[in-house]
Amino acid sequence: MSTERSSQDGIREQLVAYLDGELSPEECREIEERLSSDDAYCRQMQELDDVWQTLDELPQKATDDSFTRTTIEMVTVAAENELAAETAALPARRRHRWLAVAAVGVVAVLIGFLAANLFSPDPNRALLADLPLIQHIDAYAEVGDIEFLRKLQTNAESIGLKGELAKAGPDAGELQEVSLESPRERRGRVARMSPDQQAALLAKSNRFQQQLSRDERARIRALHEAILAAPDTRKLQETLLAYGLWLEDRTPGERADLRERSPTERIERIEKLAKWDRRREFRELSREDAAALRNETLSLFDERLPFIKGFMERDPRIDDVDAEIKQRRGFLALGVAMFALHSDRNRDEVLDRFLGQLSKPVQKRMEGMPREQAAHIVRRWIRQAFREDVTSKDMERFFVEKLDNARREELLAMPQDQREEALYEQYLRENFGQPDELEDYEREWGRRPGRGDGRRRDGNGRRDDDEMQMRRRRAPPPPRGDGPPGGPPPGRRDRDRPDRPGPPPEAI
Amino acid sequence: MSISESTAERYRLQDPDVRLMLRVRDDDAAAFEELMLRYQNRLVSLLAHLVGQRDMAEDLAQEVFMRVYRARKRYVPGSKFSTWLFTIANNVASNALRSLSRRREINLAPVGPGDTGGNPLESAAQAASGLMPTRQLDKAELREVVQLAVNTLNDRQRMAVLLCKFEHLSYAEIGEIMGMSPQAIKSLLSRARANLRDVIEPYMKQGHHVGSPSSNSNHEH
Repeated sequence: MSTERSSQDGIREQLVAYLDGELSPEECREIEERLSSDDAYCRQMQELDDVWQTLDELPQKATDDSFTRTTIEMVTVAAENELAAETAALPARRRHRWLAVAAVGVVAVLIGFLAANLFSPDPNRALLADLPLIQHIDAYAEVGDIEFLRKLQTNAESIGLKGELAKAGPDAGELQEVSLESPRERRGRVARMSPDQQAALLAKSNRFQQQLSRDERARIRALHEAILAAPDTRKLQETLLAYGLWLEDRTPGERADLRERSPTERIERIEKLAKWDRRREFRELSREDAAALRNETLSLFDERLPFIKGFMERDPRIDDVDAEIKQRRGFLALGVAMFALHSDRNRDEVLDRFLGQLSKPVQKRMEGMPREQAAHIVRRWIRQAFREDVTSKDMERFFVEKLDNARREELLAMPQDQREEALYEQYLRENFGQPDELEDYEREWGRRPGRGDGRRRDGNGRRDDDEMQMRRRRAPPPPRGDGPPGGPPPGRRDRDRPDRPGPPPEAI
Repeated sequence: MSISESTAERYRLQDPDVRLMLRVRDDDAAAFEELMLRYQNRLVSLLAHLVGQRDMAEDLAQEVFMRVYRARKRYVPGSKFSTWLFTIANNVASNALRSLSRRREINLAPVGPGDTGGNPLESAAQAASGLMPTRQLDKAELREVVQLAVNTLNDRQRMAVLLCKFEHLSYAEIGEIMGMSPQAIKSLLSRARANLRDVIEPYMKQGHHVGSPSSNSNHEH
């Protein structure tokens, strides 16, 4: 058996060597003679060759420019070390003479050539050199100097920056890492990013390189170096990034205002803004509660979808009900919630359903509140939760095309954040025709204390005509057909028509 | 290995890469870059198939070029430049593979029904044959099977196969790189190709024939 196996191995070795062109002419003739008469031998060779050809399926890896450049960088460093080691090994008085020779010597030439390759204009090189700054350019651009960062650190609690500091921790760790990485390591980091991350990084890089002045870039680089050189680098980096996070919620006007202030004035202003944020907290929902209300709204919509579809199918202006629903789901859901919380016969159940989704502290605050008031506030929150369904393009178009000059001027006179809120609220009012401003509510309850549920309403839940008149004096006639993306076709959003897309009350 | 100046002169004239390397020996940076550009893709591919990790392959390739640079003053053209380069690559890869195998966990547990008692070749053959029923071979699947087959080879078999297949080196050159005789390389490659056949052939039997245009349709075993 072992002889037979050895023989088989031998046959195979010869066949493989034949295929590899490793046999002498005489050996090749012997093989070919046998191949011409022995089918099994021929098949064996064919099998070996076929399998060998399948190796062409193995992917061949290609390198990119970064591989070449980083390798050259490594060789440059090696060459420099070589030169340094050779000069250090020389006695001092010979060292100067050797250096003079080396200055025109071959190693220096090598270094010079390689360095020239390293420092040739390369936009990627600039990005890598400033990578830690570019990644966090939004924060760096807003921080004047270390003095401000230290004041922020000291006042973090009163400013309400604790949450942002906690969130900024991991990013600060990464910032520290990137700051200490070599160009090759940074290149690898960038290469590992997803396409979206790389695109975002490129946008930030363009902003840093092209939009900022040379002085501003130098200032930011100096700030970065100063932070790295400080004994409390990590804390400063956390504060820097936390401030960047906090700024994300500020309007452009507020940010511009802050930038112009001295560090002390800026801290005072930040404290004021933080205080104002806390007072507004009852009017504005947390992100988590907003998401919960949004989800519940969409669930409600999905439950009522058969009725809504039936309703929409009877509308001759809608060609494709399914497409309409798919495209405008958020907007339609918002309408259903507005109707359900205003006029639905099961409004209290619906209200309890929404309240049950809110966080415990918010629920506690709502306890004991009159049902009308609670419904009003929840409607407002739901409108805020669906704000993202209304794009800035829709809002701009609404502002330009649907408002009269007086209203536009009134809005433009407001601080930007108030203007955006007022515009959005009006936009929704025009589409849903229901009271929504907290001021409206407060004005109403202020005029009619203890009124409870007794307001006269029409069949679709709208308020008294006098209230409607007051609102119409402030707002222009309702727009025809404006809405969120894919909004209703012209004529649909008519104030005189029943609210859409809520189903008729009797259908629920 | 020391050679006569006439031999060195002969190679200088025959192998353009040797000429480049002699310029690198004289600190010609442009020549070094040219050599890099000629070999970096091939080197990374070879090392990637050896160690199975792209990132590591690039690191190892850079190590190879660093060694070439550091050794430039000692370079003597005794053979083809590629032989010298791949000798360095073989050493670098061997070191890396030794480190990897020390770190790698070895799973000795049975893999389930049809357990082959831990024989990777039989496992791979089973896996390959079970991959695809009776439909036309799919390129991606074939690639997977081929990769599987290559992974079943031991380190030396894999190196020899890659150098033979993709660098078209002779047994003598491969032997020089791996520190083995041409006869030993012949045996090594024969066993390696038999192992490849054992994994790939069952898979190929179930679909249409693939490979060179001159190949016929399905074989019978």
